[in-house]
Amino acid sequence: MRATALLAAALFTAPLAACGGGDDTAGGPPTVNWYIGNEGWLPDVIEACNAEASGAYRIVAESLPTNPDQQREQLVRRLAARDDSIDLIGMDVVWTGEFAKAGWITPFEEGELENVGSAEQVLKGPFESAQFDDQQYGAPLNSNTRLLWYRKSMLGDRPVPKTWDELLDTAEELDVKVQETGKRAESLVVFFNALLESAGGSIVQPTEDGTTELDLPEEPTKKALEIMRRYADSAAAPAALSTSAEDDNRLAFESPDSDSAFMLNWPYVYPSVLEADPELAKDYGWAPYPAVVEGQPARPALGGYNLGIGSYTRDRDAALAAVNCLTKPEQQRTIATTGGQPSVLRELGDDPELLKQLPFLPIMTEQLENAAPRPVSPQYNDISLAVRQVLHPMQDIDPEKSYDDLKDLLERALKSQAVL
Amino acid sequence: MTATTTAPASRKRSGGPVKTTDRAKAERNLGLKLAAPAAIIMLLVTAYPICYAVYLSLFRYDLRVPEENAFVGLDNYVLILTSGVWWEAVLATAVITVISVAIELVIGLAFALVMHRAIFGRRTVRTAILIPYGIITVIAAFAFRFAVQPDTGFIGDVNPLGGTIGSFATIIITEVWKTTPFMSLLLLAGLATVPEELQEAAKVDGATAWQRLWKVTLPNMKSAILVALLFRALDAFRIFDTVYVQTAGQFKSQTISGLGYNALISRVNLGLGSAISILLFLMIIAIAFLFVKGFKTNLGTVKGED
Repeated sequence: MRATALLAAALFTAPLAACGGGDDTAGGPPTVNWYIGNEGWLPDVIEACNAEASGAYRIVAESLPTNPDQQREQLVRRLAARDDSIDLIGMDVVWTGEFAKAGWITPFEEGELENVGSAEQVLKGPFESAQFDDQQYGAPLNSNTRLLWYRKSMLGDRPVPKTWDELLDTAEELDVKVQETGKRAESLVVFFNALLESAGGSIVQPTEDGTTELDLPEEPTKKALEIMRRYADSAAAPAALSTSAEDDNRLAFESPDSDSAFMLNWPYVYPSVLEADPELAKDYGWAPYPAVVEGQPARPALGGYNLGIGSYTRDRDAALAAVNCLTKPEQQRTIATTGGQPSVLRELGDDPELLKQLPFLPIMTEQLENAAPRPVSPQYNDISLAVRQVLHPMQDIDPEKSYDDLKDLLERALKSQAVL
Repeated sequence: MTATTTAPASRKRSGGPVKTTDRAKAERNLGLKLAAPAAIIMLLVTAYPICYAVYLSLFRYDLRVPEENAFVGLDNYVLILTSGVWWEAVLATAVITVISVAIELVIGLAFALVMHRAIFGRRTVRTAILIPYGIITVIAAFAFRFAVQPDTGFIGDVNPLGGTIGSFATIIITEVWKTTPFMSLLLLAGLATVPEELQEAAKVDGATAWQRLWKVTLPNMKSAILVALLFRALDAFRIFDTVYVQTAGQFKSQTISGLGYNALISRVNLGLGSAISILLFLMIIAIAFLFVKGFKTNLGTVKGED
């Protein structure tokens, strides 16, 4: 009887103890719990920093789901419940505004960040994505933009397309497919935001009182919608367009008998093909993201992680020390080489060792200067859901009507009054 | 065989007033006392959250902009009821509910008859029919998604989840596959109450199998059919997992529960989300009310013809 009770007690309390994560009473170095999606480079950078800390702190990764929407949901639930086991958060760049406004992360004071605290150290796009309300809430960890990938053998001696119109013309003439994301997911917002920003517009504008208001200028928005519609109707659109996300695109492009000559995707596709089929990797070409307006460089959406320190952490100093270690050039180099995710540091822009492994880096660095952060807004998630609601499926877009619908729904979304 | 054959006279007893003795009263009191703790706990765990949701639904209450929270009266309900997205979800939910429950009723009845009439291997037949109901909905939803997707599926080079009709069809087929056993189980219970003598009498009168089904069996299990329909309709109206896994609301297939999930879990907009949940709750009550009314009048007609 007693044994059963003990067993029951043990079963009941064990998971609770596991939840408590950052319990320091057990002695040893303070634990820094890092909530982040499961990335291949995590063990390496954590090991490096734990070794360097030599007992000052110990980073423990708390793995989140692979899907970014689900990562965010789990974090938001925990943060709204003031979970004090969250010390460090690997935030998708677009969550920064939302988490800051809600008071779930604390801003970095002047001088607290050794490696990524100023615009001189960090590339412009990633740096802007970490700012909210004139304060720095995120420590940029890595960055990302989509590039135009093409198969050299299929393109032949034709010029690499520089604009979306050229891209679709070329693909139609060659009778090949262009792989882009069309699923009703965040990736569709990434696509739309890139076209809109490249056309000279943006979804929202910051206001003086630290909030955001709807921008969505008519001309550029309709231009972006026209391109999406033209692409969806074109013979260059793959059959599975309305259900594919980035990884579906990668798989379709990577398959040996693929009929896709072009793909717009994040640079992780390159380390991926190098591992899957090194011969095929030689056929991969890369170019800047196609422009919308001729002669005006594209402004593809920015991806990547910002590190944030949770507001309910029990040891902010340890978390800050961990941030300063994780953002060092050594760690950024590891992330770039094993994950294909470029560094945010200006000093690594022409690093010869990185260039050898990631030959597309110069184009990338240039793009990161131009890249458009997706709206840094506390209502980002609602904005994103509203865009997905109106623009999916792409073949049903009607530039005139969709523009009005988008405007109407986004206006409601910004006031957190939209049913989505 | 002009009139519908009715239930035997034994049913009559339950309807008439019965004189209660002291002993019966005491027993009823004891029964109430024994049931009270469970009832109180039920009230605490269901009534409290429901009341709290009603309360929250009257506020602008968004955890992401905590300083803007304020009492807004019925504004949340107005916002929802004037939104196109809401009505699209109501339509999607209604379409999925009506079609899947209708198909389930027909197949479920066929299964119930098979289970009822099976002469050999009765246990095997019943187990085989009930297996899908033992599978977790999320797993069934994934199984069907993988079955129809072009890259993992076996139905060829088409992409049903890439269009409106295909999306709805996939969701409905999954629902039907998964819950028909439940329907047939409820109907089997109804079949068991149809007295065998009536069947034999009808057979002697020269009724065909089809006539016996329509004029003897079905009228006598009307209440079982209504109960089965009610249970499944309430269940189907709250559909969430299948849609979440298979389409995530793509192609106008977002359901009311999906909207509630987005508002409450993904957007932590507790005010708006609570209002959506309350509206769903009211719709469920309305459906239940309609069914219960239908259920009562039916019992009445059965008795009236006695």
